[in-house]
Amino acid sequence: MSWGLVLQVLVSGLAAGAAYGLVGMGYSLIYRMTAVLDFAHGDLVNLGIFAFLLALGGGGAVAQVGLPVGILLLAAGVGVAVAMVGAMLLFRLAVEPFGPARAVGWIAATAAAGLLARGLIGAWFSAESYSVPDVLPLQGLGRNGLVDLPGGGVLELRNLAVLGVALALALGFDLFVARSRPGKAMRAAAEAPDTARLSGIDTERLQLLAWAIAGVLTAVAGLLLAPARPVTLQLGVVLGLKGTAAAVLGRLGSARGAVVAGLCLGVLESVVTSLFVPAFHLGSLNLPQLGPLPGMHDVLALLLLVLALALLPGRLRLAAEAPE
Amino acid sequence: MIALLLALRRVALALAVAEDGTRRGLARVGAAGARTVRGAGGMARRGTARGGQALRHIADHLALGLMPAALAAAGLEDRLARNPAGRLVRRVHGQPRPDALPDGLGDLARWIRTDRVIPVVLLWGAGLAAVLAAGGPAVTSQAAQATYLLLALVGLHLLTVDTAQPSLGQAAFLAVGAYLTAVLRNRLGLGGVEAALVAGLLTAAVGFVVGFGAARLRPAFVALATWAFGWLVAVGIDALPQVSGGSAGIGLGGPMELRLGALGVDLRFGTTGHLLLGTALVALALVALRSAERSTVGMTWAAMRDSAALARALGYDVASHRRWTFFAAAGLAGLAGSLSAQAVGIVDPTSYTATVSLSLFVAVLIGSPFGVLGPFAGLAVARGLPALVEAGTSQAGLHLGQENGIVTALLTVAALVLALGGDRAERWRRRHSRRAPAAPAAEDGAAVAIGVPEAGAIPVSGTTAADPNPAGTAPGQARRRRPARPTPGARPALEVRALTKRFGGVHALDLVDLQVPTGEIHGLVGPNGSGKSTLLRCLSGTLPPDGGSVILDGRWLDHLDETGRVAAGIVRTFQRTVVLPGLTVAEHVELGLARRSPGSAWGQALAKTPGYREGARARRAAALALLRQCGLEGSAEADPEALSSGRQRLLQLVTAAAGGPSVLLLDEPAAGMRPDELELLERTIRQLAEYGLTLLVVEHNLRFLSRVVDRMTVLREGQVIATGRPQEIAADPHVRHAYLGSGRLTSVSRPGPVGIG
Repeated sequence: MSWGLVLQVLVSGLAAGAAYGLVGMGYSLIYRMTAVLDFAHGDLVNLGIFAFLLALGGGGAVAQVGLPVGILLLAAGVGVAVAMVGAMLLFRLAVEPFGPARAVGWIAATAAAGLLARGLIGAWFSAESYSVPDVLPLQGLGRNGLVDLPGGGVLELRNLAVLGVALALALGFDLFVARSRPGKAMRAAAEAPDTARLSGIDTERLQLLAWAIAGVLTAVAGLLLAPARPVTLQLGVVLGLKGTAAAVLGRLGSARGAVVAGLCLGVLESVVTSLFVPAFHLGSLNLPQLGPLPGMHDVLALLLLVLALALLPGRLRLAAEAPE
Repeated sequence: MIALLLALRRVALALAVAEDGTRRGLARVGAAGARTVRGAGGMARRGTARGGQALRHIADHLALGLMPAALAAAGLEDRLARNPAGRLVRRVHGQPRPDALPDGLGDLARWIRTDRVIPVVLLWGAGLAAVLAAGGPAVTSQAAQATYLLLALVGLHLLTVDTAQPSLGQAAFLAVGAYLTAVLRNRLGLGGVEAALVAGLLTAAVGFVVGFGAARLRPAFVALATWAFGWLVAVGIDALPQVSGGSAGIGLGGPMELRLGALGVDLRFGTTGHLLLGTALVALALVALRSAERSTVGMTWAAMRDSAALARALGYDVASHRRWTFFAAAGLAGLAGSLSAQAVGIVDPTSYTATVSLSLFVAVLIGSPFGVLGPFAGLAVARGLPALVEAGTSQAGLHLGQENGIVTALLTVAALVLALGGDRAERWRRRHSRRAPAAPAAEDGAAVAIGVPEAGAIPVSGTTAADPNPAGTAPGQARRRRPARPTPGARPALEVRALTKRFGGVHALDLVDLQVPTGEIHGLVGPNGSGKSTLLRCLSGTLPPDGGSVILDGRWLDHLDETGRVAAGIVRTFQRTVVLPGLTVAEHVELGLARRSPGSAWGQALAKTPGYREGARARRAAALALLRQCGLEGSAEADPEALSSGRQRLLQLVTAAAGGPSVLLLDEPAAGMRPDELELLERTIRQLAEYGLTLLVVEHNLRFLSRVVDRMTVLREGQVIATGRPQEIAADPHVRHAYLGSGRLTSVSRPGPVGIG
């Protein structure tokens, strides 16, 4: 194993992981500010990606290369805005009417909203899968956007860019929460909603802002990751669930935890799929020989989420005490 | 002949309860036998009286011979002897004497009436007949599929409605059952029926594993865990096409067969066979579910659902109950998935998507206001409507139905608006979560006949017992009335050694030592923040201390958690009253009694065995007697939320005492009580202590406390500053200083409740 290959695996994992971290940050923020779980989080990813495609080609074929950067960015802006509005609508229509106490209400409502979004998108985009043009056109650099590494590895420049953009966004969000006035108000509203309200903070507007930010982060993550693979509606949902996994593993409610957990998840996935899986056989079970398993990294992330909920309940545990 | 057998069975049932062979009871055996004979209609009218005579004769002999064995089997004697609350009941009211016979048929009739079983059966039968008579193979096959979905739906109802664990992954359990069946049949060569059974069991085990962690989580996280599990299965099917057959699915090769050579059974299930099998299984599952809901198990579910903290404080292992409901729900889904895959001969991945899971969840939501009709109604709407829309729009090439999910999503919204927008769901829950909503008259009659309070026993009714001027009762008088107790000085029942708890730099408890002899009422006072509640929480096991030991009757409890300590004999009440909206007042007390009592096991409760019925009746009688003790018997059938807050606190006390603890920890029992209620509280506490219960009472109302307790301990900043009789405490300069700085502590001697701190 050469250092070049190690670096290749590491960077591609970090890039994906940074995107998971962004999605997870949004999920965590929603939980912290409104005490609910978003069962349509992955569909915000879908909204972003497919609104982007709609803005570019109206649902028809989209040229993969050669589009002017300005148009790409404009369409990306449309996608992000649609996801943001979608998230705000989700909060207003599917969460607020029930309030945090009526869990069955918002669980079913957000899950149904996600299903509705998938249904509507699916009615318009009926093909099996779609290719999404890259918002970060780096093909001109290096050898078609690639840099050969010593020892056989290949460094994808867009992975570095994805990592950079995602980390910059995470850092910006962190600074926003730590320094800005609305950020401080958000922390106050999350810690002690009643006291915050008494001090004149409009907590409801901050909750809406939290959902809007989550929508933006999620859509950006989707647009960063989508170009590397065939895009289906399931991709968005799975990305949403990976973000959820990052949020849960990084101690739900903590934005930094979500980013760190997302990065770890990405690297783990990358390592497992590229190094171990080809050597993984189930021959003894008399099953057909298994080659590399491209879908296994999705299974891995979901398995981790289920296990995290099972084994690290931490503060997710049922209240052991009667309210006193 | 059948009638005679039935009658004999009734006699046998009667034996399990006949306690002292009273003539009245035996007369009822005969009468019941006669009713059965008459009801069966096989015997001539003239034979009735003679049949009754004969039965009475038989019963007379059998009862005399078998009664002690039956009693011992029920374990009643033993339990009542061990339980202070039970001793109390027996002392005041004599032995609980079951008066009515185990009226299984009556219970059945009640169930048929309240759950509208007859219309359901008629409708179902008509639908079945129509499909069998007129439907082609395609229609029959679809009906069989729907029936199997119903089976999975019953399991989901158990999880979502009964135990408040919303599951968004039921279709994944269907998938597990189906794919396991493919492996079992195609690779291991199992027969269809065996494969279905094994797949069902294995799926149940998978459910147990998923539920293992989820059982400890709040409902929203249960939903998240099951949602993630659902997608894990869906993504796994995609990711491992070599195993799952990919989008094409797996063929199962040949129909399901059942061959039992020894019995000459050789069945081959076609679509009709599957439809009938599914119908039988659904009926069985529904009956079992309703039976459980209307039993102690259902009561436990209601407690877990509405206040897990209370259920734990009463000694129920909530997580374990939840895991087993996961086991059952997943098992039903696994069986359904296996059978439905075998009915169509292929394992088809599109049947197990997240959309299917959600539509099943919606079916439960839609069905929840309709009781036992619910699953039918829910499935008809949640799966039928999308199918109709699909059929309508596929002509136009739109496909807006099943696969797409738009209709399911809109249905969810409609169901939410209907079910949660109003208070219908709430009302439904209250109506249906009761075990036996009907026939309070008969049961009350039975209970009232159990025992009339003896002369000299305490007054019973809350209003008549109310002393309009309790302040007029001097402490000295109250003390003189107290009966003799076990001699103090024996080994302490509850001993606390050097208990320490720190929160950061604050010593909430600092080397606290405490010894409370058996039967003592011990007060615990101190200014706010002195560590009283922390001490109670460390004793009850909800808060792990940083050091020190808790010893109960010579047994070290430090390694035990809350459930373990309740089992060992320490039960506590909460500072804030918790009542369960789904249960009546009497059922609260029964909930306290039901833990570890005979006949409260799942299997017994489901089958409503004679032992269970006997246990239930004894519990009911004991609950009513206990309620009479504290003047609440008039509200036995009431909704506890309708009680005054003082009476709710009394109810809590009785519920906690009903479990038969040896030490009861009361956290501010008198808070918010009116004078008449204080009087009732005092009497109840005294009665409990008289029968050997040890009580540790945290209370701010010092006048009340000093009247009730034998000794009290004063805490200040986590340290014991004084222990002794109330008079000694009142005179203690340290205590005065703690409370008042300098000056006199007047509140103990002056009438009128004084809250300090």
